Amino acid sequence: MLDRLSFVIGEAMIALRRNGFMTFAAISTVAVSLFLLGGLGYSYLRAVEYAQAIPGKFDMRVYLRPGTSAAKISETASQVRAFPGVASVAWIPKEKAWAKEVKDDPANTVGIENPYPDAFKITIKSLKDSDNVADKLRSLPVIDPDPGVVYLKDEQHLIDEGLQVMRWLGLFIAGLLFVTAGILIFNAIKLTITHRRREIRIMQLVGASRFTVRFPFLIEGTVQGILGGFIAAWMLAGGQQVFQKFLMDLDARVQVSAFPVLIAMAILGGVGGVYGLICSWLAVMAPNRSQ
Amino acid sequence: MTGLDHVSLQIQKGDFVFFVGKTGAGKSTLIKVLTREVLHTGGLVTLAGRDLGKLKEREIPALRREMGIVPQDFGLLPRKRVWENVAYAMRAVGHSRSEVRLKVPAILDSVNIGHRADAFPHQLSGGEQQRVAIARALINNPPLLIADEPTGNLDPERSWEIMELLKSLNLKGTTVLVASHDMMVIHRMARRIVTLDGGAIVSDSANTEVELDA
Repeated sequence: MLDRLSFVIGEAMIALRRNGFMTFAAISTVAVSLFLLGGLGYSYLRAVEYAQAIPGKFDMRVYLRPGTSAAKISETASQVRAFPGVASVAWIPKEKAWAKEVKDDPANTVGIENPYPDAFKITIKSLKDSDNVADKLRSLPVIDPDPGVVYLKDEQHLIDEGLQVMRWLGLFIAGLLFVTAGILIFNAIKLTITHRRREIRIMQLVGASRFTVRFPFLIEGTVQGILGGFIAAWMLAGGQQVFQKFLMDLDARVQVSAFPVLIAMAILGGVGGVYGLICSWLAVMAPNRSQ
Repeated sequence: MTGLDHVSLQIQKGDFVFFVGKTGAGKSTLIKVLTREVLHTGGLVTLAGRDLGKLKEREIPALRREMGIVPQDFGLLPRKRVWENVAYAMRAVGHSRSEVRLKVPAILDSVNIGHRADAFPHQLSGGEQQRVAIARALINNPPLLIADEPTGNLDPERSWEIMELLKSLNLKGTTVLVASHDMMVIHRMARRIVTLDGGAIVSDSANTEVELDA
């Protein structure tokens, strides 16, 4: 078995060497597509992580009508807690809010009567829930129509839209390149099959198994995909370093965590390898096949 | 389009049979049917009791390992030396490196080409190339050897040498089937001759019962 495997691997390596230009084209395209896919995916995750860390992003301040009774406030709080997407509800009594204001800005609060109404501080679970929760809150009779529900609506929409653009644009560009890489791997394998038709014929004449005839091509495609994935991971690591240096030069106070090179190599190498295997399998099975 | 029409033929183990006929008579097609390079669309083709029509794709390699095939164009790898050509075929069918090292010289010697083991195919004469192709066909020690026009590109002297080689293999018990139109050599060999024309057998020197339809 080991002997057969060494023969098959040897055949694949010969094919990779002989078919140099197509191999290079396939590996580099896989690398660029996975770099974009991986880079955008990584940036997207980091952006989501960053967006989630913005203080108060998930908070809503809801003001109640003046004169709302304590019993009604308590009943409304329970009702709001049951809304889908609401993580927590805290009542902020108007006295407490005013006391804080007086403490923070004593000069401008002297002699003024407490203008604050009772309020709720509501924390939502996810950005996408904010508008729905706000609409539901506005429909409650105890909620003051003005100012009513206050939250970082525009900022949230901006972040959300930014993430969405990033997601779709990334998927589109990387997807397009990914398909191109697949076609290149397919063509590289087809070219190898054409180049090695003599060897294939001899193998078939002497009764080599289908495994022996076909497996070198599958190895070739898989190796191309894995190498493309590894290169993409190194490119991402390099990109991250450049970005980090850029931030340091700007003296920006944004902390960039270390890039997980090994994890990226495992993921992108794995994705590339599976993709290369699929494309080479399609090439081997396509008409004008090897056996 | 008809490849071969109504051939009926039976060949016994240990026979030496020539298929002769004009170009397009069906000699090569008959060989391709026997090696399952093409699948017959009608009739019955059996080899050692096995119905080739019912053979599955994945069973073809095992069938081929039971026969040695010598193609018309020799099918040698130009960038490999003589011994590498044989070794490559052996490795492809699963022989270990040590087996290859041990057996290749013996196989080459058996067809009298051992002295050219390190030569490349382009450094060999047509007859020598044919010997290498025969050597490669013998790697599985097959009971059946099929050769398509083995003397097609050779001068009469080299043709006779190849025929002598095939005859010696036949004397050792190998069944030999040869498609050829080299009538001078064929008659000199004095073996069974099956003449094909337009997919039909027009004469069979052994006057054998017909059983094979393809």
